[in-house]
Parts: sequence; structure tokens; C-alpha cells
Amino acid sequence: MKDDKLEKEFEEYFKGVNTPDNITGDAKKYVRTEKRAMPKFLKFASVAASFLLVFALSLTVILKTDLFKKTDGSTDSDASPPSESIFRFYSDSELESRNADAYSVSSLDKSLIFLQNLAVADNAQVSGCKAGYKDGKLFLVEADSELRYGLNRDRTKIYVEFTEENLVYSKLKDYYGGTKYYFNGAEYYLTEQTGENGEPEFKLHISYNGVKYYFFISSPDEEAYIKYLYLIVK
Amino acid sequence: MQTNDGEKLNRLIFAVAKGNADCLDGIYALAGGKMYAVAFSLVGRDYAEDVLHDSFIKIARFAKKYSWCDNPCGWLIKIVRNTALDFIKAKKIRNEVSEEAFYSLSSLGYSPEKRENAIMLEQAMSKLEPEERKILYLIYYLDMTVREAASELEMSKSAVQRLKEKAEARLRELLYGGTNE
Repeated sequence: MKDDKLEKEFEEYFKGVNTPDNITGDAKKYVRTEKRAMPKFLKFASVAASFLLVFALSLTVILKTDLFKKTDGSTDSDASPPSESIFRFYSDSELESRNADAYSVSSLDKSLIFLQNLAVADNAQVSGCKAGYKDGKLFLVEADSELRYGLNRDRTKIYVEFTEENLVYSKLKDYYGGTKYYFNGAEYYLTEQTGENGEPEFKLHISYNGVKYYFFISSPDEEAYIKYLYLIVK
Repeated sequence: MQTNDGEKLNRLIFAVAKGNADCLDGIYALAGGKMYAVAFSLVGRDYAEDVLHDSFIKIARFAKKYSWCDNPCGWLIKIVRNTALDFIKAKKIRNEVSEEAFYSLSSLGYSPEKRENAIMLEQAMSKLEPEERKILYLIYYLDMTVREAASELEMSKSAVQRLKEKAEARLRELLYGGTNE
């Protein structure tokens, strides 16, 4: 228990300090708007609206492809997402896939040590490790992890990609569409969505030290993705 | 922190958690002086501003995890302190400022109308024994409880309580002449 009078004395003392300007500017970028839980009927309406929207979009795409195709056979460049023009994609069929475990896969590159760290943690499991090679060169590592903490449980699909910046595994193109944020100076992209079971889902992509990391996290914890940033950014 | 300010801080932190970024300015206006003082006492003048900057980023990120409490300033100060300690580790700077700096704020930029009282407090603090200043620093600057201070000083809780009461009595005496409790 503090002495009231002395506490007031100290508070007045602190209030006299001329504090530096522009301290909160960067912090404001990190404030995120709260997502409010929707009533059930609104959720149903929202799902129905989503179906209608998807249907309408599909119809638009079909009509656009069939009716507005240019005479030389090329399609309107605006029709494809901007990322398509920047990135080149490769698929499963181009990779030679080898099964592995968290320990052996971690020895392939120092950027994969975090998989081993996850595997040895008492509250985590890592499974489904695979390494994909092209022409003998390591292109992609994937793994599944399950992590329990408190009352929460994360299920996470992890991809680590070692290709050049613009060469991306075709299943990962969606990870580039999220909102850009910064973590300890490192840029990352985050897409938040709600899974079929109502749980928050996150698509997180971060490039760090020339390696590309992708996480698909399903967790009741709305800040679940942060711990994966801590795993990567040192 | 006075009760009124404490309640305002609680509301502001909750508003930040709900997405109102401008409330960070309100937090800074209410508690910035103390936060700066703590950063200054741990990392010195050169880095205090950086520590404060990084602390506000953490506040913005972790406001959602904050729960309403009687001592919101203690939560903010813990963030500043941890950020400063991380800073010391990362930048490999020596943590040599501490107690000398925490009662010399009026020599920095300081509000002229409060300067006279500030100098009185600083002079009183300078007359205390080092361990008395240390305990007042832990309790009044870092908002530690007696239990936390005991753990920090590796002393028993009762010894810390006695030291705290002695330091408070000495400071009251130096400030108010011993007659004014």
C-alpha cells in the first residue's frame, strides 16, 4: 500500500516531465478493430449472402470468359488478379516429394529449426512432414502442427518455401492477398476468416532472411498467429 | 496513479482494445511522464524515446489481453520496463543510469510551473539512503507490490515493508518537516 500523499507528490512530479512528441504514431497502425460476434440469424443471412455472391461472381466470370474474350484469344489483363502477373507458380506435379519427420527436416536448413523446437515442446505435436525437391534442390517443406495452451488448441498447416521471391507454390497464392502489418520491423501478410466451425482462421505469410513462411492457423484464440511470428522473427 | 486517472486509463486501454487508436494519445497524456521517467531511469536519455515508442506498439498489440484492474499504470509500467530490459539486451548498452537518474527529471525538459516542487522532491530524495531511494523507486516508479519488490531485492517481505515505511517516513519528514503526516 502506497502513502497517498507521497503518491500524489510523485504523480505531480511525473506530470511535469516534457515528454517527446510523435511516440504513438506507429503504434496506432497496430490497433485493430474488434470483430463483433454476429447473432445467429445474421450469421445465416451472411452465409446465404456469401453463396449468392459466389454464384453471381461465378456467373460473371463465365460470361466474361465466353462473351468478352478478345478476338486474338488473349483475355483482358484486368481479369486476372495482380499477383498472377507478378508471380510464377509451380505445382505438386513438378516436385519430387519425400516424407520426413520434424527432426530430419530441421537438419535441411537452419530456418527449419523451429519445427524441431515445436516437436520437442510438451504441448505441441508435429506430423505430416514432407520435403519437396525440384531438380535436386529443396523447394518446399510442409508440416502439420497441433499446439495446446490453456484452454486453446491451434491446428496449423505450415509451409516453408526456399524458392526465389516470385516463384510460389500454386496452393499458396492466397497468402499474398492479406493485410500488410509489421512485426519487429519484418513485414507480414495476414488474412483473417472464420472457419466452418466458427473458429477464427488465419493465413499468415512472412518472408524472413530470404525464406518464405506460410501458416494456416485454426484456433479459438484470436491472437493465435502472434506466437508464430515470434517463432520466426528473432 | 490517482483513482480518477486510474479509471480513465482503464477506459482508454479498453478503447484501444476495441480499435480506437486515438486513445493511445490519451494514455500518453495521462501516463507518458511516468513511462518516460521509467524508460529514462533504465536506458538513459539516448534510448528512452525509442523504448517509449516500442512500448506503445506493445500496448497497441496487447490491449486486447488487458483486463480491468485497480492499477492500470502498473500494467503500462511493466511493459515499459520489459521493453527497456529487452532493449538493454539487444543493444548491449550498460544499465548504469537507474537510481541516479530517477530523481533528476527536472534537469530534462520540464514544465516551468512544476519545476519548483520537482526540485524540492529531488533534493529530499537525494538526502535518503541509497536503499531507501531504491525501495521508493520500485514502489512509486515501477508500481511494484511489496511482494514483487521483495523478490527483486532478494529480501523478505517483512524486511521490505519495514524499509518502505522507513523511507516513506523519512521522505515525508524531509518534504513536510515531520509535523505534517
